Amino acid sequence: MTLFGPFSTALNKHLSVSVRPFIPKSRYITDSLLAIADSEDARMTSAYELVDWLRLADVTPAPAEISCLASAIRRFHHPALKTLLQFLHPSEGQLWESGILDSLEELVLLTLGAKKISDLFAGFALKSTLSCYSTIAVKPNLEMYDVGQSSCVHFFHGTCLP
Amino acid sequence: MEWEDWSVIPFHFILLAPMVSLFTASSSRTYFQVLVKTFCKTGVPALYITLRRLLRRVLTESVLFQEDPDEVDLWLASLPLGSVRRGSNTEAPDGASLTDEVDAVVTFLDDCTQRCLKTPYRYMEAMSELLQPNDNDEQFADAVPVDTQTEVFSSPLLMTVLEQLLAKANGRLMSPSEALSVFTFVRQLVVKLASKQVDMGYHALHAFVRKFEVPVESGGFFKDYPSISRAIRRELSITKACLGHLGVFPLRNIQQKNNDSVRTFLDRIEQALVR
Repeated sequence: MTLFGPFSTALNKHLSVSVRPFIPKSRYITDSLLAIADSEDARMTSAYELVDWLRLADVTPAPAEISCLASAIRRFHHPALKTLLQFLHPSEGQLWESGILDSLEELVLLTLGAKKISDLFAGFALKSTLSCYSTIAVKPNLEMYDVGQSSCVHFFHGTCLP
Repeated sequence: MEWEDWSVIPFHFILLAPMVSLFTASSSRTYFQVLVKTFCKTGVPALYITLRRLLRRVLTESVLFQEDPDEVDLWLASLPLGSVRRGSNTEAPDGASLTDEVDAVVTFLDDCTQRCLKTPYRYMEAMSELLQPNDNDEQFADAVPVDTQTEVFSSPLLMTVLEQLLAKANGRLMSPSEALSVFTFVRQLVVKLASKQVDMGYHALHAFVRKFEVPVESGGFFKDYPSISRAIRRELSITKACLGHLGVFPLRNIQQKNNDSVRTFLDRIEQALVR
């Protein structure tokens, strides 16, 4: 199992203060419970470390596994979920099938009302692109154009933030 | 004048900004670089809004965005706004040092901005050549001709980014971490630029992305850092998937792998106690 070998070393190296023990160098995964330090900075660093894990480790997590990853990131530093979304691959179905959206009502980019979104996209060709798709998911405090994959959200990221 | 105190200098500078050129250097950095960096990192809404207005005004009045001033918003939105916060001595699985993403992108963009301001017409010509590739260019043998009436990149700065990213990554003039940060920025930018294209085939953007394909897919960037090289390929893949999905191209299904290992890893992470 080489997947987490080098990465676990890196994790231990820079998270040794914030996460103890994280992944021991002698074994890739420990049986003991992990503990995250109580400082906000440490939890934030740990959360973004997990985002980096998705970007840099040679893995293709299934939607259910993305859900677990999102759950951990949510506990460490909730705002980092927004960053996680930016790095989900549209072709892997990770956004729409993982259920992450169910817990994203608090995020700024997804709490914009329909009028706000239409204002933002006014005059852009994207507006007509979206209208090509028939499925639009509307939830309380959550306005999301469900085009079946996550590329739509990639638009939302930059256009709506912060 | 030193620019280390980010909490004080920007407010002070904003008052002076109309009187000086933002592209003038102070020490080793330009005022533009200082402001963009603060824009990316500030957590103060009032400062963010003020800087956004200032940057927007300065950029829209420059030759960079004279064709379409509204495009500035897409560029600013593509910046890593407080995105990834890394601890010190962070490393990728391949040992590459991971550094601050904002620093990497802002430094790169500042360099590109200055280059483009010096010779904007050179980059406008480069854009024309990109949109109308030579028939003998094998790389673009299957490319769909771009209708320049409906598809156009307004800012020549995009061509500067293309030129400089390829040059700096090829020449190892930027670190692996910096290159990944800039590729992430380019990915965000390209997908956002799709929102201003009238033709939903996004042929112009595909032509732009193809320029990166050969060196990236062949593993030409940072071969000795496989994690970074793979992450850059992933950025390109996401770019193409986004453009493909928004356009008419079918998505490919990616095979999942190593799921037992991933599952085990995530199980352990899930058990972590937050004190």
